[in-house]
Amino acid sequence: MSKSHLLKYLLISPNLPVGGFCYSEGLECYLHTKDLKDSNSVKELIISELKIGQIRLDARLLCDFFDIFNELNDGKNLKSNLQKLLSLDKWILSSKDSLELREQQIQMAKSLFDLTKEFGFEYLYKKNKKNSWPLSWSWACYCFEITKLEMVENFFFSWSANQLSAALRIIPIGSTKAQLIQRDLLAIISKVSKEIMDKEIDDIYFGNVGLAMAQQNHNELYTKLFRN
Amino acid sequence: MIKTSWEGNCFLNFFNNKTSLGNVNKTIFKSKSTSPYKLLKSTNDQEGRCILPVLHTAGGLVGGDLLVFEVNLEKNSKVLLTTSSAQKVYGSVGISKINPKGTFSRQKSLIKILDNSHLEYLPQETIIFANGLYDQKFKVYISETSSFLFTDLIRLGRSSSGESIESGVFRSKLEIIRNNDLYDDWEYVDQIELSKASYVAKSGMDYMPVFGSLIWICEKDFSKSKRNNLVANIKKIFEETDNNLSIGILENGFSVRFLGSSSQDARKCFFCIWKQIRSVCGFCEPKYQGVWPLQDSMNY
Repeated sequence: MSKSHLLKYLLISPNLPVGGFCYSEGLECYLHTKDLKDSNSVKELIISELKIGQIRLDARLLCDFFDIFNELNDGKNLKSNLQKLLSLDKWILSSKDSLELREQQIQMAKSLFDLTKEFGFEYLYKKNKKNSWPLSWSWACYCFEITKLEMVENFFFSWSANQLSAALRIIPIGSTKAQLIQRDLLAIISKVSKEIMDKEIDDIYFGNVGLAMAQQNHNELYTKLFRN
Repeated sequence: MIKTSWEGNCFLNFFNNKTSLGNVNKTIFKSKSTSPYKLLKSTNDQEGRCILPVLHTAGGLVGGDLLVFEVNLEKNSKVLLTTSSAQKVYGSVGISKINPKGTFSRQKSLIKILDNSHLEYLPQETIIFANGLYDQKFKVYISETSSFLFTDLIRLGRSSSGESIESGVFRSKLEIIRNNDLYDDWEYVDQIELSKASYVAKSGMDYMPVFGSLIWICEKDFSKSKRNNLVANIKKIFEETDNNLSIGILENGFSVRFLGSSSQDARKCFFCIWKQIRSVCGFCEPKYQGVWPLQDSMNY
């Protein structure tokens, strides 16, 4: 299969298995507990996740995986890089302290690995039994020859689009309003993506603790959204 | 150049004293520490568990202070580590004209738990005064047959007198690694930063000044049904309080979070959970020690 820059659109397409997932990632529980029903609350939540949330750590890991794939391709530090892949993959999964969020990531990662394999890019290295979402996203972007910055931007864009799509099903927003929010997010996504590229894993902390707690409490709330 | 910061370290090595008389194995320790660390008198409970309160004599941390804390648990030992008073982190941002940005005070902890050993690390709360900068790092290595209980309680500002964190920052990194020859087998990773941004964010602390975490990592072959019962009991504890609490299941253990305005409430909840954990593990019920988490004379 020939590689084309248009491949990146496949990744964020709402029709492919990955885009088709509609997980609320605690959004539903959060809105419910705080009794929020307006679109501004959703926008505020997404912006604060981009600015102080755990999603930043996932995004940073994309870059680390990408660099390792590059080094492995050049035959550099084979042994240590293979160990690093396994270790970082487990590391980022261990940072999700709710079972539901880990299972979501594992499922999405599996689907994306399957899809990339169908596209002719089978994962070449040893894998843990359960894989993280950033590992599969990074692998797809590496294979599709997408640049690192675009990989991070696409990741944030796709995540925020999914959050909005989940929000549409929870509160009365309307799709035009959702589009307006998505447009307003673009500048922030671009800024945060550049910031993440310049940081190390050790420099990225999260402070969105209320949302993290909502994710843990999610299994308390009846929903069809969390697992599609 | 004169050093204006204080660097203290504390090294503790716990081991099972099999020669001790009686039927129970008794955990004893060797230590080496420099000021401001001081160890209070240790005691042993009926299961031989060593209960050791650590005292930080300086009464608080200022920018640049560094504490290094190293704990080893040799095989077959049981330890309850605690502190004798709340840790205070004084303001650093905007205090010095030479360094108006301030400097972080830091604590680095390295913990190793060998086979069949159980560590409970239950320090008292940390209070970050307005403009205080604090960075703590925990790296915990744990064997397959060992367990680790960790609590961390943070108060942003002396909130009862209306103080908030302002330009201060609390940063905490906790990494728990299960021994594995092939690669680092992470059990749990937490990288939290609490500052004004998270204090005011609705999806952050939403103006609640007290945040707490209770992390429990059990033996690798710990019964899943026992763990699920434990989680169900903990959820019952949540129902009895008005505070915001949540629990998430980890691969081997769980993580509980507390968000509220009373650290006493947090202590109460954490104590009830601790009691449940002791019971499900077949250990004795925790008793009043005169120090955290029972320094309040309340009825648990």
